[in-house]
Amino acid sequence: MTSKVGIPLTPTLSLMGRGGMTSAFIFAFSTVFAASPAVSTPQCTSTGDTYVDASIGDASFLNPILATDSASGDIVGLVYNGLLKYDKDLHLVGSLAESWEVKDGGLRIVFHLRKGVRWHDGETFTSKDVKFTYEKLVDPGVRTPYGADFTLIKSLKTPDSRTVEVLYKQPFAPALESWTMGIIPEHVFRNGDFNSHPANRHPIGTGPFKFLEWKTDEKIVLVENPDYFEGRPCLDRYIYRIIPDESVQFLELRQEGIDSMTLTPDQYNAYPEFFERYNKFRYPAFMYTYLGFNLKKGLFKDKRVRLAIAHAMNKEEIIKGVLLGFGRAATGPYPPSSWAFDPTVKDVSYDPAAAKALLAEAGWKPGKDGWLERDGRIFEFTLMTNQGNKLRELTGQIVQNRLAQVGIRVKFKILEWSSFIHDYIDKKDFDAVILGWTLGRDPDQYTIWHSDQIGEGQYNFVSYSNPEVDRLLEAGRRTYDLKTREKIYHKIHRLIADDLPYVFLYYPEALPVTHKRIRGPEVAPAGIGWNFQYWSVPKNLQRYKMSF
Amino acid sequence: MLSYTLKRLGFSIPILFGITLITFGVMHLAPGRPTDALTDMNVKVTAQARQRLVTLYGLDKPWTVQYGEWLKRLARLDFGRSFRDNRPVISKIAERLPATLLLNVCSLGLVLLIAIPLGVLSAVRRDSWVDKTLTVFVFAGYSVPTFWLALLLMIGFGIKLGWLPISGLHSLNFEELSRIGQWADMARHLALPVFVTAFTGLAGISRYVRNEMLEVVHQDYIRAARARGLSETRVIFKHALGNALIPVVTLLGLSLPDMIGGGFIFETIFAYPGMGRLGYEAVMSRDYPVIMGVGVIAAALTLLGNLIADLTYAWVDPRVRYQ
Repeated sequence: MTSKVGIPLTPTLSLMGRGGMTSAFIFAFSTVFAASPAVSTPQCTSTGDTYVDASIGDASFLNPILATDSASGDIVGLVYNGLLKYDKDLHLVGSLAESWEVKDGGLRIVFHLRKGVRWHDGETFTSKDVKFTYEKLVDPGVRTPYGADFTLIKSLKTPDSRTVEVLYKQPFAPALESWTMGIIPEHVFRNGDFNSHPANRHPIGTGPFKFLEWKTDEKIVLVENPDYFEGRPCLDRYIYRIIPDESVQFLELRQEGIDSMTLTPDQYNAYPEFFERYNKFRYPAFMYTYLGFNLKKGLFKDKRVRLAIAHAMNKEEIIKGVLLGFGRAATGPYPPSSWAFDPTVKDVSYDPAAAKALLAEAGWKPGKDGWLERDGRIFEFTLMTNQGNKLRELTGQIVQNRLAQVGIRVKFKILEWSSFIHDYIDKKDFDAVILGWTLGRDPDQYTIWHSDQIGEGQYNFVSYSNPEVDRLLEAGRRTYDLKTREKIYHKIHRLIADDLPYVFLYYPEALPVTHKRIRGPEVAPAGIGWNFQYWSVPKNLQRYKMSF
Repeated sequence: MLSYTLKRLGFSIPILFGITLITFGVMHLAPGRPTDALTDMNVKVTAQARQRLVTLYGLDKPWTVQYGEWLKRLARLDFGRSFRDNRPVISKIAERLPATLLLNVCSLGLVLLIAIPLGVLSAVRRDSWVDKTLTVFVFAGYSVPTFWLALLLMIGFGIKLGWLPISGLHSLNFEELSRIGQWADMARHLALPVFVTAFTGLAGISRYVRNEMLEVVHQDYIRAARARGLSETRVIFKHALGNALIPVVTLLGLSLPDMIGGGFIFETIFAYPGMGRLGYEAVMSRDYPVIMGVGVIAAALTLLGNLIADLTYAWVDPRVRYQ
């Protein structure tokens, strides 16, 4: 499905790393929030047929608590449900929870669970399952990387089988998003070792699709769940094929062996006749690529220097050269489809003359051989990125070239991922880097920008520190009120854009295609997969007729 | 012979031990830990959560201690569990082995079937245009990049002609086919990968056969056979070829580890669920138990292959005797 944008084998920097989790709209407290139409009427004009999806890598754990790769996330997203989910406009709405209340100034969240939901094996879903899921997330013996948000919980009570009361140690607005985490069945996982439980390969969820089989490194097959609480999905089957080579995936697409694929910009521009049988989509992905400065280095402490470098960048050229135009110049840490994005923030213009003037003001004057000098030292630094990401490598070359034009000498180094992160980033032994962030839908970026996140292995590795941003980041976590949060994050967007700890380069676009016979895909702020359960194929166009 | 075999087997144990020690050491020298890919630069994963995973996987201990623990488990024939999906390493290998064996046996069969006659022909018509054409042909196969050839064939036979499936080992409706249909389906899927591996592997054996043949046809007993007035066919195929094939037997023994090793590049290209991908993906994700499991089995088979090669050599060539 379309949640897996780009699935790089080399990890992209990822805020979330998983499909299924998306953005947040916020809620005044002590209000009851109803779920999307309580019992949705089935929207299928026709049922039947199989949808064949493809992935570069195989899944690892079909368990939302243990799943860390995008393949597992894709399957888990169809088999399991969270208490909440994001709708097409990136509002949080109820899923397994019918409604919820935020009380006591955000300290307490009460979830009212949906009635009559059954697990795929027929057992009834209750609040006990929610409690069990929470216990596993904070159990030190469970191999989950997702515990952090749940350790902020002081207690979780289940007054009855349809109510869950969560008490937090402090108000924490992103907590709501954490409840999009898939809920697992207690009766299945109760006995046996959790990390190696057989149900990690044979999941039993509550979602629109039931697990059928998993042939390692070949395919994972799901079938429709006729008893799904929002109505049965229109497609009969979902097949997830593992095709580890991107060019072969593209050939399979040409031969109609798969029904969808997220394309690279050059694939997207390939032969028009090839796309006669496919619908093409494009929309901004929830990510951005940046040029980050090590603010601990004397060279970049002067804001004039950072601004000069920003002026030397021709972002349109990078977007045209690297993304073939499928992207947009970035202005700050939030992408345009996020409500935290402040559209009034102006981008730094491409202006080499201004760059040179600023550098001269900072004392950097052209020397004998054209490079800028100050006190007999040439303006020179090392720019690094990770190996295996072609787009970043190309971006680095363009940056190097543009900076040479204003007299800055850049050495460009491409390093293997692990040593790049552990020997250079974590140890702050770098001048400047080209990297990207894949963003969560909730705009809380405390871990990237707060000044107490500068330690080794933490994510504010550029050592950005602005007391006002710190204060705002803390405030943004404390309040659930949407209007207030929007104001806070707009301000953060503006302040960070102005401080230039990064030169924000571009927001790339996601470029998925789906087979023409499939009806239903529709671009929304959430992408195209948000209504997947209602995608269908008219009877006369169905390709796969399978007996069950 | 028996004592020789036992002695060789005895020597294998320290060698195997050395190989595992070096593999383990090199693996830990490589930058990055198994938990990195899951947790690096993922803002939802805090430093504490990362540390918790490191401890749970036992990665905080010195590598020598980890090696000791691994050896202890191996002594009980326990290969441990994969870090990636927590399944026993041995079942992950068992799951892949048949597909790789199937592909490699087919491919080796095809190689032998083609390479031996080619080698004989080249030798008999030495330096003729036939020999030269064949030389170019087999070396072209040897040098052509596998992935490029594979992609061309996929476009040709898969997309343009539509005769063969592009990737995988089974069609999506495999389970619903009849037994014969299933065999046909697998054969269609195997056609391209077998052809690619065979074509790229022709050079070795055909060159061996050619060189051995050239050597053998100059031996006295061949001259004697000709002098006895035997037909050329009989001389070449009965008297010369039999002897020329002796080194090929050795080669077959040595190819045993290749049989289960599988090739990463073509398994990836053809989306083929084999051992090559298992090993490669384990290396990329630093899945130590799987790397070690695949490594031990490959090392053991290499040693066994060498032994079998030596033994069969003695068996087919009465002049060779081991004490």
